[in-house]
Amino acid sequence: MENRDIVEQVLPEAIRDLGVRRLRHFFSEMRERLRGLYDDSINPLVVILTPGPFNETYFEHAYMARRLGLPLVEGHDLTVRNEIVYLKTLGGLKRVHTILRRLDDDYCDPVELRSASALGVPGLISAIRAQNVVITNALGTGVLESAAWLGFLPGVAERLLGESLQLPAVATWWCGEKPALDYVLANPDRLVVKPTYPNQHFEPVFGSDIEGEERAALIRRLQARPYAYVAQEHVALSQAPVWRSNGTPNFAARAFTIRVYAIATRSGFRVLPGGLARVAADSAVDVVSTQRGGGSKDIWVLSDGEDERAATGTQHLQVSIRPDEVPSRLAENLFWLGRYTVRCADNARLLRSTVRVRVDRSVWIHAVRICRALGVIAKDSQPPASVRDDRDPYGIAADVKRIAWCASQVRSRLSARYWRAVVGLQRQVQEAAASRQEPREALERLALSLAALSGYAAEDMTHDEGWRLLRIGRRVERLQFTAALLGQHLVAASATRQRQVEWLLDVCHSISIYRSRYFVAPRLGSALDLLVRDVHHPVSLAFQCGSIARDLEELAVSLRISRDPGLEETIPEFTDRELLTLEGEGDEAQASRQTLAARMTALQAAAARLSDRLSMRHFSHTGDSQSVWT
Amino acid sequence: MRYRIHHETVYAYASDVLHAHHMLHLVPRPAPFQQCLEHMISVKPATFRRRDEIDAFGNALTRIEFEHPHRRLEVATQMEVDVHPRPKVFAAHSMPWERLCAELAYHGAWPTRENLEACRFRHESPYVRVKQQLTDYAAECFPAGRSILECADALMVKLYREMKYAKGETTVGTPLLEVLKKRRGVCQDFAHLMIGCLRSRGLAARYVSGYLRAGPTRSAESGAPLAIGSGASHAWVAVYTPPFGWLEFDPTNNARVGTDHVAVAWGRDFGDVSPLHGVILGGATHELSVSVTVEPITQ
Repeated sequence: MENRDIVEQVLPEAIRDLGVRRLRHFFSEMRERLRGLYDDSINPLVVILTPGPFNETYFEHAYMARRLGLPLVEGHDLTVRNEIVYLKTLGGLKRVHTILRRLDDDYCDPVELRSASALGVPGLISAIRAQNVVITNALGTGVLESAAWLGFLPGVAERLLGESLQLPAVATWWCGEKPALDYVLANPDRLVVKPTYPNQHFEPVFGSDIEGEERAALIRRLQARPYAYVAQEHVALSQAPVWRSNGTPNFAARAFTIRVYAIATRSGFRVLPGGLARVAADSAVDVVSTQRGGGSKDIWVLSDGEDERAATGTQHLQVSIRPDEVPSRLAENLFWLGRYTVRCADNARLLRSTVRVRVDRSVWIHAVRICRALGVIAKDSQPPASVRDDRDPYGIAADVKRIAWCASQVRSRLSARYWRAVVGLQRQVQEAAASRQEPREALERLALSLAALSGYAAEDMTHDEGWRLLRIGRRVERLQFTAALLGQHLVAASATRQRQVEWLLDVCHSISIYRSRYFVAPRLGSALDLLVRDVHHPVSLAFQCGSIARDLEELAVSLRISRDPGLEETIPEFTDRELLTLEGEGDEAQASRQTLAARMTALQAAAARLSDRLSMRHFSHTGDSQSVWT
Repeated sequence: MRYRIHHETVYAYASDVLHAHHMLHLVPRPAPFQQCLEHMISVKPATFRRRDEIDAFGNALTRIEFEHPHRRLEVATQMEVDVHPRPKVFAAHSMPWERLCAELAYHGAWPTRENLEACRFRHESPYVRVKQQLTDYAAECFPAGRSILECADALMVKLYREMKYAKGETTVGTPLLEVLKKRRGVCQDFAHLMIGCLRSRGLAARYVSGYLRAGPTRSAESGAPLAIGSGASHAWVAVYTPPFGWLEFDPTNNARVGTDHVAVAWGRDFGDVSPLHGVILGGATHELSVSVTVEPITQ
């Protein structure tokens, strides 16, 4: 379906002129149907339950969630209390009425079903039995995915509907039937043998491809457990043209299959006017599956003119997720995505600025000491080495891994270009580690990519509660970093030297703004003025504090909860005279720098406490469950 | 035979369990050969919710839920159970095993009620996979034309001889084929292996969980008192052996089940009927202690 979005962007005229039927109507009907499944509620909460980003169809789940305007949740986002299903949200537990299930039947409840699975919802079955939640498709319907049924479909249609199938099924024999087994054993050349059960480890076998001992082994398997196998006639798949751009660009023929979608509505089944065509990876292959590679195509169903009228007849308001329905786990991962992105960006800039001053011995010593004190490089390591080392848990590579992990957990909330930037970031780090290229260049590029991530977060994401937590995460991280950096700088004997101050401003990305404002060579007093108390400078401590306070306020209002008290430390205020003292020489000046450094440490600790408090309050029930047995 | 049974399970958690769902299979189900006269399950701390039900296999099931943080869970059951001798059967009179396979396999006609029920226990289940290696391992116990009961006896003897009872070497999650390779395990593993060998041939077998009285009965093979498995909950196997219905075998002790065994629940495998199974949120690590006493009060 993502295919359609792309095609609509690329070929809008063709779609319109040919009268290609739109898919939108199908989705709004599906949403209405889902909302109507649970009878007793005026405003039902419907969620989509996914196995998570490690599943190969996760992308489709995320897309569907966006399209339907429903929260996409994983098993541990839900909890069952007293036979009622709740979503763990930022605003507390919210009752769930209907679950659109994209998780396999036997993974749904670790209490009663597959217990080793962490994907399900403990107690879900008891809630279903008590009829406190509607789950669709119902548990157990997975049995219909077996190819074994196909052989029975013509008979089923005759018996139940008194008519034959409108589309003939591929001729299928379930070997559990004695006559079917006999037929299969007698005609292996014409058949493909497949597993009856989806969890069976058995790849489809073309009877015509095997002979001798291999064929004898297959026959033994069929005879030992005939019910576990299905045979289908070997059909020649249709071919579609595919444009190949690698090698000599040309058109090539590829086998394809079509997957269609239908929903049960009150007025009967509704079929999606479109579908997914999956194309084989290789011209020789006649098994098509996404797990084996290959591509996909969009399917167009042309309209006879009635479709568009029907669609406009039942326009619905676009339903959006209410603020208090943001799952806690999602918000937690957004919060940490914010923190890790800034941590990585700050560390990258710190190292970049340090590598830049390598030729200047006194600044270099000052900078390397601070890098070590901040834990950005190991005690016995040098900045360039740290960039390449992907085993260092505090290194840049480890930060990028954490960003990628958090991003994968919230992928449904990220724009396509944000996700691409995350993937690009990982590649950059790998390349930098592998190629041993000039570290400075690698760091510059990294800093640039991270800046892009921040931009995408601000521009592409809905500014809801999850986003607000992402931003609070960013501010808290920046506050900790800048306070720590200033604290370390202030206690150094060389704190007031011009080139050291220039390095400090460079780390904080503030050289040009300093020059445009102060018209003097870098001095400590003016630098502190800029980096500590200037509320308009997005790197300054005052800016972080102000922004955090506003976001906490807004969070409290939209979640209808009491406001967090915020940071327990204030930003130091100083007069111009005091600034002069700070950059002076002698005991008094040094003492005032020590005092300010202590306040920086206190500020850093307050930021850490705020982070812990937010975690306790909003994310505390997001832990993982475990199974216990006797 | 009347027994008074006391079964206590204690979980000590390293950190608070914030929320938990548990399922208890602790009350002996009624059967022609046993009745539970009285029972009481006491649970500490107080449950947030408790519900008594009958599960999909007809066993008594208690579901409990905790909503308040706790560091310790105690579940204690007291019960009195009457156990009667099982009717005598003649092994040779049971159905030849191949004929039973053919009867249980799918064919066009409706199956009998008994056969249909047996089919629930004929397919692989979460802890008992159906494998060719299991078919091969047990091949000598299934010569052509032998009655199913004789086959099951032979399989039980084979497992008893070839498997070593060893605690702590397997867990709930140890795959059956690994148990087969190591030839070591506890009563659960003996039972799962026997079930796997039967199902791999298309025969029906179920897992029985219960208690074993330590004491007077002696093993047919060694003459030693039946002891393995007493002091804790025990597990054995029921095999579908028409025309005698389901007969029970204890491969850990190499004995047919009689009045020394008290069945609590049966299902496809351990996962369906374990005495206590739950999913907890929090808790970090835990220590588990279980004690079982089976005391005969009348002959």
